[in-house]
Amino acid sequence: MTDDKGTTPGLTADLTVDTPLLRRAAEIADHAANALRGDGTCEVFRSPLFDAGLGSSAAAREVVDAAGRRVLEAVDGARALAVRVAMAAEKIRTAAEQFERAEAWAIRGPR
Amino acid sequence: MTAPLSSSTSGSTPTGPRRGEGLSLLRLLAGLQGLPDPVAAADELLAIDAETLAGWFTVARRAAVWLWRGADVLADAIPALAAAWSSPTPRASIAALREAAVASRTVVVAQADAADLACHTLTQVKTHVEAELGAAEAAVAALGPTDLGVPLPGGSQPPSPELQRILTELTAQLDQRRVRATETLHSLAQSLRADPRDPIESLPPDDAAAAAAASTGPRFPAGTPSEAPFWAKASGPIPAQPAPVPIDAMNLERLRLDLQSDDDATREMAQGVRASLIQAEQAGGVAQLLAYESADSWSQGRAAISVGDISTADNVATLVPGINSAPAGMADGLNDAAALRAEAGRQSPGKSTAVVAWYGYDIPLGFAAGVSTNPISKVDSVLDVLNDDNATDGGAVLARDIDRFRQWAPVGARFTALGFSMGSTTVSSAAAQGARMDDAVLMGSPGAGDGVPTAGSYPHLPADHTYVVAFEQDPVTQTPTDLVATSISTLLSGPRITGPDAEPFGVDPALADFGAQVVDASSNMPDIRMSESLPGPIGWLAGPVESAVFNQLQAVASHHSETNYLSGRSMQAAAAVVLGHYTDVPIKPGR
Repeated sequence: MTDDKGTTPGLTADLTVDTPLLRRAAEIADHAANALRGDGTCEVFRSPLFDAGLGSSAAAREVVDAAGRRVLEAVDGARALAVRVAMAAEKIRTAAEQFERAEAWAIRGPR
Repeated sequence: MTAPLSSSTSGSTPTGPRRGEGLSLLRLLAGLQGLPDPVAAADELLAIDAETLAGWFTVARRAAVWLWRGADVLADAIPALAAAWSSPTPRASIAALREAAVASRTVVVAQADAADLACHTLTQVKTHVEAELGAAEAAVAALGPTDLGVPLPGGSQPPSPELQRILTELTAQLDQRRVRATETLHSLAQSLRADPRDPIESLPPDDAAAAAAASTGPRFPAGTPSEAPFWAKASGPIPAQPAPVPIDAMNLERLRLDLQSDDDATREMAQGVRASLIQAEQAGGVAQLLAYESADSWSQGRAAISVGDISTADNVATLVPGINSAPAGMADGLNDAAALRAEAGRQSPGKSTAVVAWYGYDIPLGFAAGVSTNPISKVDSVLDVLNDDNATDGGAVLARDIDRFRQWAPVGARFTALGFSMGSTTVSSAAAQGARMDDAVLMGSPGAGDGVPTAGSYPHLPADHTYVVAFEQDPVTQTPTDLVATSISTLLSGPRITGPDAEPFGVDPALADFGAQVVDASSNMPDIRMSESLPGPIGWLAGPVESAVFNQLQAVASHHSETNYLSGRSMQAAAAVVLGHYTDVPIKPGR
């Protein structure tokens, strides 16, 4: 069953898009990516802990090993997330662009 | 009444030399009484370096701040998206990213808090140990000769109940402190079992990367800012199953963003890396961007490109360049990588080899290879030539990168690290810092780096798996390099109190005493020498000097190049090492 416009009830919904606001959302996501990236784009951290620095027990060695890795993973994680957020921002921007193109096409009609 | 044993130990908290004497006395008396040495247990507890642990976790706190700020800003994006787009999907994606940031931060903060608590407890333990040692020393000092059990003529030591009580109590107290320290460390180890990246890595796979994999267009991003993202341009038939995400999808995405950067240094480096990827793909069929970090006006950035597919390789060689190189201009390094791969293929046609050109450390004189850095950074980069500091730092990074490469390579793949010039010092430092490699090849090395006296200094690399190629005609591998670097360093910074460092790059690995396998190979370049003859008395003096300087410079220019080391007989030897064909490597005695 279709309505008088030829659409099927329940299968469509109005899509509301505000492209300037969409671009603003992308900018905010860019800021978030920058925040996640931290203050140095290429800062390399290196664990100062050495094997017996906390003693010779198994627990001490486990801590040295794990602490060395986990701190670096915290930095890596933040940077990896920064990349994903930057990608999301780019997608939003692309979507805004596509919506604008579609809108222009709808107004002008096909050439 | 008994006199104190020593007036110098009568204080309540002896320190310095008094403490040393007191501890020696406790140790001696315990031995004479047949009791365990309490000072040994105390020494281990006092040696715990809680401050360094606390300092290291300040880095984690910085990451926690980044995650918190990122999550905070992302929270603003969600209502903006809700107002901008009626579809719930985009804001759900952003919300998921924000939740990952919050969850990761929670792990990081919990671990940093646990580390702080542990450091506090360990510091307390040390304070208690100091106090208990001091009290025991004071108690022993107050004992008279009778209570102390002065040795009898004939050497026997009568039991001294009071002394035994003091020493036994001290040992019991120290045991308690040790248990406390161990429990604290155990608790911290438990806290550190969570991986802060888990919330981020458990996000749904990014469809962008999948789109990139499925894309039928060029794999490497174009740089025109007006173009849509490369992952948004997937064309052709939609695959029934999503293609696997390429291992370098994230790095390629980062590269694509940098190609549009407003920062000249960032953009120029990205353009150079993109050109290198295309060059590597032409040479190896498959090229992968295994590491990528942006350049800026202070940093040359980082890049590692694999010639050949690392995910299917039987052998993975990582080639580390020397000074005058930078990620923005990797053409020469990629040519050498491709040549090494071709030679390995020639020697062992049935095996696949990937050679990674690793421009992953802060390479001295990188600006000479076309990086737009600021003047201060350039001066800094020039000074970096004079010692092995960058190689040492780079070694730690190389060790981490090799660990990552191992995750992408097939199980059982052989890993070899080859370094030229300062790159060889970097490879040596990486091995010394525990890098997991099957073999190392040090070519044209100015030294093995600080703290590497012999090839036995590498924790995971047997000495006979370290190969050294040092052409006799190459002055950089000889003592003059150290002398020149030391002289310039002294001129610039003045003589140091401790005296100039005679070996700013460490021991020559080609020395017999170093204990590595020295490859029997000669330079592939002709030896060009000149003899200066100027007229008159000045010429008699100046001519030989000019000739000597010219000949040294000429020798560096002719013989000290990565391409020269990766040619002819030395190239064959390097490829044989990469393949593990050790009997094909010609060996000679060290210097």
